Amino acid sequence: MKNMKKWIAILLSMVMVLSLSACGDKDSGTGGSGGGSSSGGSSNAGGDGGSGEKIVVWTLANDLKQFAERYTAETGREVEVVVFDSADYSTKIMQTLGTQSSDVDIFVGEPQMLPNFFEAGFCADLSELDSEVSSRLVDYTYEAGKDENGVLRAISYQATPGSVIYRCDLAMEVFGTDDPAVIGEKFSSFDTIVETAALLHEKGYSIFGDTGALRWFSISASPWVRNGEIIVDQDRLDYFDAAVELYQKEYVAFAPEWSAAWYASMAGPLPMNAGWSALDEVDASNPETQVFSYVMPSWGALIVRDNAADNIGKFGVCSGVCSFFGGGTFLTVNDYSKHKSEAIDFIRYCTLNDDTAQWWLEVSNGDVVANKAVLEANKDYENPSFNNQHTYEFYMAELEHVDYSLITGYDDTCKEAFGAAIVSVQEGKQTKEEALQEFYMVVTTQYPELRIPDDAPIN
Amino acid sequence: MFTRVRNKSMKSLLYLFLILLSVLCFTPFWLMIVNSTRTGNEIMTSFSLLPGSNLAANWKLVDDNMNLGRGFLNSLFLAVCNTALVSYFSALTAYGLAFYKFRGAKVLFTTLLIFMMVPSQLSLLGFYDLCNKLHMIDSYWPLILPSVASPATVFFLRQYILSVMPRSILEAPRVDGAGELKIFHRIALPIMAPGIATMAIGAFIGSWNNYLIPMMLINTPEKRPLPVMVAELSAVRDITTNLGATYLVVAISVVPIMVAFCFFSKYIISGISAGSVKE
Amino acid sequence: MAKEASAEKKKNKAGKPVVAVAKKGNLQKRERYGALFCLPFIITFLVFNIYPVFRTLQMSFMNYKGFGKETFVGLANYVRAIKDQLFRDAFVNTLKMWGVNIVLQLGLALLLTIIFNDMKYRMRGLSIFRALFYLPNLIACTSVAFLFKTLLDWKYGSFNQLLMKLGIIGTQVNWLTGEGLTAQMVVGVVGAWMWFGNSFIMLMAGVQGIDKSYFEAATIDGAGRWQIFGKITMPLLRPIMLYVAVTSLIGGLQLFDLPYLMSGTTGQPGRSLYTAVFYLYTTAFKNNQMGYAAALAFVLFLIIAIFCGLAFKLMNKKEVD
Repeated sequence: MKNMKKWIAILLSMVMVLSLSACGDKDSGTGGSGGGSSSGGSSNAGGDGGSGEKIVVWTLANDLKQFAERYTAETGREVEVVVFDSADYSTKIMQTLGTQSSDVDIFVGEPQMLPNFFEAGFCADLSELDSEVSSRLVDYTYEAGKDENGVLRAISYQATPGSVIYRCDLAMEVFGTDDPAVIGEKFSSFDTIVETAALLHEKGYSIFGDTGALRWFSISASPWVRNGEIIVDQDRLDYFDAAVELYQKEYVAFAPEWSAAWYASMAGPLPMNAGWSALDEVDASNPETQVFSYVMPSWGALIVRDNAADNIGKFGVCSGVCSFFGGGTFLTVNDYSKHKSEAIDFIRYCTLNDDTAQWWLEVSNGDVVANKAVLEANKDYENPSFNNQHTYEFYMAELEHVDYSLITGYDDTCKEAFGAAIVSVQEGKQTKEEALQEFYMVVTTQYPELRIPDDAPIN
Repeated sequence: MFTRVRNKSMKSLLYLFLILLSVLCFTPFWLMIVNSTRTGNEIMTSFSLLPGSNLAANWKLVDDNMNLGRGFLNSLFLAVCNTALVSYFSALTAYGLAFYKFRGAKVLFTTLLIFMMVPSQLSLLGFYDLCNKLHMIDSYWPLILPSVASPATVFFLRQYILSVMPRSILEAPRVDGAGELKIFHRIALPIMAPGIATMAIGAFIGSWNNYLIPMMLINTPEKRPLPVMVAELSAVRDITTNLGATYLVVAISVVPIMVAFCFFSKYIISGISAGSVKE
Repeated sequence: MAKEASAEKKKNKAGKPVVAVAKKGNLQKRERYGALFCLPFIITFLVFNIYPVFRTLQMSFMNYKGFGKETFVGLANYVRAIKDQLFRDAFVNTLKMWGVNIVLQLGLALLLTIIFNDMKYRMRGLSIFRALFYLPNLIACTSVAFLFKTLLDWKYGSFNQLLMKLGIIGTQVNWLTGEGLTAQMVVGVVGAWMWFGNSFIMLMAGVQGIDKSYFEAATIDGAGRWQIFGKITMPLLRPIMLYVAVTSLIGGLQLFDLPYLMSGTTGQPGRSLYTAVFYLYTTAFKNNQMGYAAALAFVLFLIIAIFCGLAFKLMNKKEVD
């Protein structure tokens, strides 16, 4: 009984003290937002000296913090960068800007988020930068930053061209060369990929960590949706067959992207048919395997490099079945911002300033910038992490071939459903016909407005 | 004699089972602590039960990238407020529902059950909308006030009090002329204590780990609770460089929960003696 | 001190009727205190719970992306929901995972409750075991998922290596990326591992609330372990059991985090880890069909309500109210 009293007393007094301090918080909060619609209220909490000039940036990674520091050092203008985790970021933007909040001046978006942001009317018109962006930045980033009426609303400092990242030392051993042009030939179609995989398999190597790597090539010739019809062209059927064959013949290492084994494969061999017993039996024909290549956008190449350990410098980059891009950070100005001109100035600084681009290319240690002139200036750079290859020259060429018109808002759903169909055939649970039927069902159930074309590869 | 031996071996067997189960529960926890001393690359690529040597570097990364103390205080403040409100008001409501027959009690109980069944993921939008209308965006109020109405806790405590407290207990003090609220504080609350403590643990942990709603509602970095800061930490750099640091923060942030757990569970035990007080 | 003060304050807030009514001793009026005690709850509940739910209900009749314009479409979303093959599949998946989970979780919790309350064995160390069993609850779901994904990796996971070393299996079992049913079972088991400690402390709290003299009297009368359990513990525990069953039913049918994270947010293999709420989440926030997702939420709610009603019917028969 006594204990109980003490306990409750502590708890209640705690509540009282804390609720008082909570009231304090609230007071300062309302003081700031006195103007109604909670405008600018929160931005004052950052510091006492925060003048009206300060702009607030919401982003998904640390990059812009570094940009902001440099910008402040050069111009004296303050920029506050707030980093969010990507998981529910899009929802957060939708909610906050849905209330016409001016708490944020600049926010970022990945390419697939942009159309929604545009449609919701959150992004200010950046047409004043249009001519500069179209002439000086990589073409697909310009296309991705325009809304459906062709008005520029988002700009990226970054380009994210795709690549096949392969092991040069293994290439020398198996193919007698590590020339990116020759190796690129071996990845130029799904058929040649299967042939290449067979050759590698003979030597005990696996072409990819997992067949999921092929999905990056799933938009090669046609978009997933055209005129409301779901497109499965010959390329996609080839992709399907190749993925099933690689799996069933065990040409891959069964180490899916982002798994622990996948990371480990960059630094050294993986125990094939793992298990301690396998290690005891020395006679096992394939005691271990090495992963020959990874398919990833340019930032993925950096992941491979950073996890390569002793293999660093042994990787090269070449092109695959088709050129693609993946991810990327676009900056947009909040249409309700009270500091639009300052915000635009910061965006101009991040994206269109040659010095900034060159600086970023160096401090990021290998990011591909969107600024074409700067890429051009670095095209002879011999990258020691990639076998002294001219990586910027390579990525520039890839960027030339990225076709943004093939991108639709249905891509993620289609890719995921197609991937699931492939898995069920790989596992032998369904025939290809059944799996494709299910693929169409899955997509049309989620998007009833889409149709299955008459010439679909099913009966 | 024979049965005693059998009893004894049975007992050892039971202890063995309990210990095995404990190991199963403790290992992942231990791994989390171990991982906080390893590099991200080590964590991603291998598996170890022995601590690594990267603790200092991980700590530096944490220290450089986030204001851990601030996040800690924010989270603690929210957790204590929520726990106190959930405990007190749920007990009061449960007592009201269980021991009084007022009009609408049944309706209230049913409504409360029904609202537990609505998938919460979608209420999020309406909730944001509401906070905006009440001018509560970027404040702690919407993170604390809703604790006053916690249907699941009320439901539990109602069930609990029905199973441990006979109605007849109330008669004596009523005859003595004690006020109803006083009876609640003096008699019902102590009897319900083990149940309340059980729920308080859950409330504390729930509040401590709450991520989505603070993430949606709080815009000012200084007001962020710990989980939102952790999410930022895992977002700022490539995962292989900050995974160890993330584990470190998660490991540190478990400490207050464990303290709270010990505090409350002590109370669950002493509830046995509280139960005997009523005689 | 503080307690007294706050009690005083409360009384004042409630106003004079507190004293007045008590003096009259009117039974009818005394019952109204119940309503008074529930008032803070009711007000908060109305503001913070009811409004969002009605907003969701309103959205379910709209064509709404989560932003921009809302257009009224009547029952179209509900018609679509009833025909939705994927939603049906997802619901069946949920049931399978939940089934495994609940049997293990409650079974284990109940077993432990019996062990620790056995009058003959008088097991010691309850507080330390209880803390240990509760540990999995403390680790964030993301870490749990990451850990188990790594441990259960098909070709390179430590769990398969261990089993092979012990000679229990000949080749690696593809726990999470092969057969759908296997993956569902794994998620169910991991869920049980995470939550059995929680069910255990609830049941323990219930048992410890029971007057010990009941047990002592029964033991003196020579009642066996199972007799005590069946005749005393179970009936007295019924209200708490009902609570645990109903909340795990509600929670289980809303299963989301664990399968979402363990499948790397894809629901693979073969969509088998898609649960009803997972599908709803995808529809709302990935496919931007907020209105339709709201309708799905209400269909799911109806199903849960039916299940809960059944649970109540089954378990509530003897609850004296």
